[in-house]
Amino acid sequence: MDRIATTAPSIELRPPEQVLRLERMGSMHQTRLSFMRVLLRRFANERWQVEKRHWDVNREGVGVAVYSCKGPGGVSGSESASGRTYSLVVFSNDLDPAKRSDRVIAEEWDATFTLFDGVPDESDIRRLQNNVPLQEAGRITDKELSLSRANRSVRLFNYVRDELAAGRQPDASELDKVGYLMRTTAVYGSGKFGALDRRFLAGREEFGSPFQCELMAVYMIRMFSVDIVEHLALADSPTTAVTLDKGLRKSLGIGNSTGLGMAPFVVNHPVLFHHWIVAREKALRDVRHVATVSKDEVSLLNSLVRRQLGGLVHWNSEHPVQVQKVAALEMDLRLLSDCLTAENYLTSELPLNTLYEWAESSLSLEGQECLVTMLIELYPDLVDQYASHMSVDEESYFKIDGQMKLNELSKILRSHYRFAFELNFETQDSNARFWYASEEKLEPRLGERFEEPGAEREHPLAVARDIMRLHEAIESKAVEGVDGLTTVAEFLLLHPEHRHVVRRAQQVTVFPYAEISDNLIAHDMMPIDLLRCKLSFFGAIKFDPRSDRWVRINMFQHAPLPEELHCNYDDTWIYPTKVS
Amino acid sequence: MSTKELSIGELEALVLKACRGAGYSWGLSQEAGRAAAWLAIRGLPSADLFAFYLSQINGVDPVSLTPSGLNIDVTDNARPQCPVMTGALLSDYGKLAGTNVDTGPIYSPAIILPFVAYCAKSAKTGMCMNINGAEVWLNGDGELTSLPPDYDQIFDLNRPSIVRIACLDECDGVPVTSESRRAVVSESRLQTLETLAHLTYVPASDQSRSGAGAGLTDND
Repeated sequence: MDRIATTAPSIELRPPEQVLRLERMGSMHQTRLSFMRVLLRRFANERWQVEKRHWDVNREGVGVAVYSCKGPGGVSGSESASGRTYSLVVFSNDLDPAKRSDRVIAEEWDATFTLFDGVPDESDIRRLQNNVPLQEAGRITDKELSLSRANRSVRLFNYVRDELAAGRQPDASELDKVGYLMRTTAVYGSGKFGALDRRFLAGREEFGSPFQCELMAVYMIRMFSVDIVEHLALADSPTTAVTLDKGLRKSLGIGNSTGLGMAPFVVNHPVLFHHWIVAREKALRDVRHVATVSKDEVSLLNSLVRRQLGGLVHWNSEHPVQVQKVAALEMDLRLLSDCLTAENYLTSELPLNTLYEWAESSLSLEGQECLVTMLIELYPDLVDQYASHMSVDEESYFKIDGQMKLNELSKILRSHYRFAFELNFETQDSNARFWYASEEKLEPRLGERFEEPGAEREHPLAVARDIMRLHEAIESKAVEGVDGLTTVAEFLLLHPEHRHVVRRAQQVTVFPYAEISDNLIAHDMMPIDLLRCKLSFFGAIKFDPRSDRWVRINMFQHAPLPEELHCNYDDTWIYPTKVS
Repeated sequence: MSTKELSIGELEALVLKACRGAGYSWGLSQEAGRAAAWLAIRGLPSADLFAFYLSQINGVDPVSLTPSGLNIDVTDNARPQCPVMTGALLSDYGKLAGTNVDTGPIYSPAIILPFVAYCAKSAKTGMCMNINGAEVWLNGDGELTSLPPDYDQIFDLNRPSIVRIACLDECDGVPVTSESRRAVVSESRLQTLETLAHLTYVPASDQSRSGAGAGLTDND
């Protein structure tokens, strides 16, 4: 690429100990590489047909609907050329308001969904009807790829329903306050509750990026959320009801309410996590290497800054930490805007690197990461290639190298886990929490080690502590016959309790972004930082923490409607267009 | 006998948790889960095999089943050993030290099959396992190329057996198993695994419930 500076000093990737601090992870934003955006780009580029196929819902909103995404046929050289169809089967419910809860312990929802591999026939629907509405208590099969449910955002849903029934369009500002009509509370994928395992889908090109089945389902749930409110409005008042204006329809995404269940994922999939992070970091590095920035690119950057600023008005949160972060981001974006409008800005050697370095010293983490997102946005031709490197066959890296000597393992620990050596696990604060699975719903939870029972059943997420225990076991030489020349295989035969972290330590030598550089059991650890990082890779926006371990987000807000996918597809849809 | 179908991911998670519940370390439990998935994907008995093994050693601390090594002199009354730990040891070495390896007497010896497959794949060499006179062959990709016609005799072995593993000169051979997307488990064996898995869960308390959810209302 000739726009990459070849004579300028080489810019390294940001090191893991900078990127993978919880505070920074908790400030990450979606990018062009986020899975939601990859999905819609594919839909647009390959002209996927997304539509409602079947609607059998009564006046009370109870019934079945089917939506489908159909890949292109006849395009040679593409796996998705097979023209596969994936169907969202919806079971719509008339839920007693008293039963409406976002918690995983809920037992009934406004609507439940499954993504079916193909087009379901009547017998499939009957089978699914007996299982999908039960969610965790039901079973799905290898014909299904996801299982999920959603509740209405009651106030907004009822407001929109009433307005449409009365023949009026709802007020756009009311819609913006919430941003969605329904909120999913779980979207289960690979292998869960009987669904087909991802490993059997890995060969399908359309599922080359992570979480494509789940997000395909969510995109169609978004369609259902508007269809059902229009349907109920019409049932309420057949003579006056109107449908929702297209612009308003587009301004609605799908909410999601996520608790601790999602948090362990990035720790339990270190090799996969590395691939997500390194893709983003390589994209940033390449952009920082750009030699000259064109007028159009400066103009796009300016416009993205303005659009981000405009969107802040609707980034609502009552959580004090998030309130502060959004306020800091607003100041950062204004500063950035001033910089960009100053004369002769972005004319230095490696101008975007200069801008990034300025951000590191002048902006909050929220502002820095927001800039990373916008910089990556400017250069699709440089960065989009990395989206196809965000999946990996984790199996291939599972094996432990037993021939490695303990001397070498010890060296790995000292070089890749420097942060852990700075922690003091003698203190209660460093050991304050423990991760476990609750008997009640089998969901991951975080306990207080010195206040609650159950720490003996702790899950292996205390990576830093366990790494230090491994280091101590190697260095203490307390075991007869063990020294630096002992092999890992011999050591693990005597000390199987260290096996899980030996695997991680060996993986991190190949995949340096596999490990979070923080203590995941510290008293002040905020699980929402883990959630936000993962959700940013999904493409979520408007993070609204409801506590330190529970966050609401918006997905597909402003996304093109199915009929807009094939005509002048706007790849920057995720940035609000209104400027305040 | 009623059976249930699990996804491969469910099976892997269940065997992992059951082993953890039976007293295995997390790292070894991960090995067991992965081995269970390997067997199930090839349509071989998996959940039943692990359930039988874990019920056989019921209450025994797995540490007491640690193999003393490979190719040790085995006496008639040698201490029975754990197939997961023996398998992990084989896999850790990656390739056989010589051309042949004998394990000590191990419970449910079919459990080491996936681990031998990892060795074959890693060393890119064909391997032959002899379990109680029955032979299993693997190619250099770690895929099964020959199983005895009545392979249940290997999977149902209810006494510890020595496994003889030999490297083969050839690494080719056409796989004889076909891909399976489901793991079939009998209800009774499933119960065994679930009971053990249950030991990894922490009973709910008011404190844990309050900590799991939103601090604000979640119904708006």
